[in-house]
Amino acid sequence: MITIKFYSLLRLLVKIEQVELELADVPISTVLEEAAKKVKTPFLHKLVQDGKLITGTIILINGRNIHHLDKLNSRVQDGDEIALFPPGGGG
Amino acid sequence: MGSSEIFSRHSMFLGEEKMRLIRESSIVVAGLGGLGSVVCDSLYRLGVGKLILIDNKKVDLPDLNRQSLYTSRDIGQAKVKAAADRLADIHSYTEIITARIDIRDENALVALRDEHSFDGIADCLDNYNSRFDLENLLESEVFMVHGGVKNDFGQVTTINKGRSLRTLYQGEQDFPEIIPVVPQIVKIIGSVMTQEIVNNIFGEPQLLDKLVIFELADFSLYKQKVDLRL
Repeated sequence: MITIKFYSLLRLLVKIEQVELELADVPISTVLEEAAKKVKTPFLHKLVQDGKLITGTIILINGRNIHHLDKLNSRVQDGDEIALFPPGGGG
Repeated sequence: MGSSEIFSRHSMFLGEEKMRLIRESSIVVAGLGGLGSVVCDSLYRLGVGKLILIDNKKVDLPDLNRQSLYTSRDIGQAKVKAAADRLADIHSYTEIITARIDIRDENALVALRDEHSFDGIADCLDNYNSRFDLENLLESEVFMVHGGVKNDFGQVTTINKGRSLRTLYQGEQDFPEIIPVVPQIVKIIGSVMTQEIVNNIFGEPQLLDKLVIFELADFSLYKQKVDLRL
């Protein structure tokens, strides 16, 4: 089971706090695609364009930004927790 | 006017030992914008021993929607000066040091670190790259409480030496430079930061490897586990 949590803007968009998927040992890109199918609200365009990560939403696997892992190819295992988090950069 | 009377309402709750820790603490506040205003005001009224204020900008009209240390009379004045003047009007039990420097100026930052000792840093800056540079002030035993806001949401966490905001924000961009924000979320996130600074002063940080995320629209508050170790 993989858990995907949505925060702030994304949660308000998809109107759900989290989804769970029966997946294991798949790239994060697959997890996101399956999550989008499950929540039935398009949100992938906020994260990925032309196959590349865009800024504005941080994707964490077990608290680590996938920029420091293998980006969209980062592997996700059974039991992992994904967080999708649009940060506030202002002060 | 005695300090015991000024601080009486919160010292009744906190007690003598915690008030001593607050009184003996020295905190750097980096960025005197919206979050910096709230953090400075609250730490000052709590009675911290020393505040070291860092900013190199002047007060501008669009600041007045949320930067609660300033009024229209401060337009054009250096923020460090306007903030120090405003705080000094409240009481005289906190030492105020002002540094009108650019965080991105490594030499100025090193000089500040060499000249002053401090227990913690409040990251109230408004862009990621400056935050990464601010981490150069981190030494062992020094904590940094980070806050950020946008629109009507924001987040807070604590880091120390061995942890970095780069692990969280690397890949994010600082554009556009002007970030939309409502004043009420600034007050909330600034207040959460102040509480976490106090937690750190007491040696009891609550947000090490945790990120508080607050969304004002539906009053949702989450603590998300993060791994910010280098």
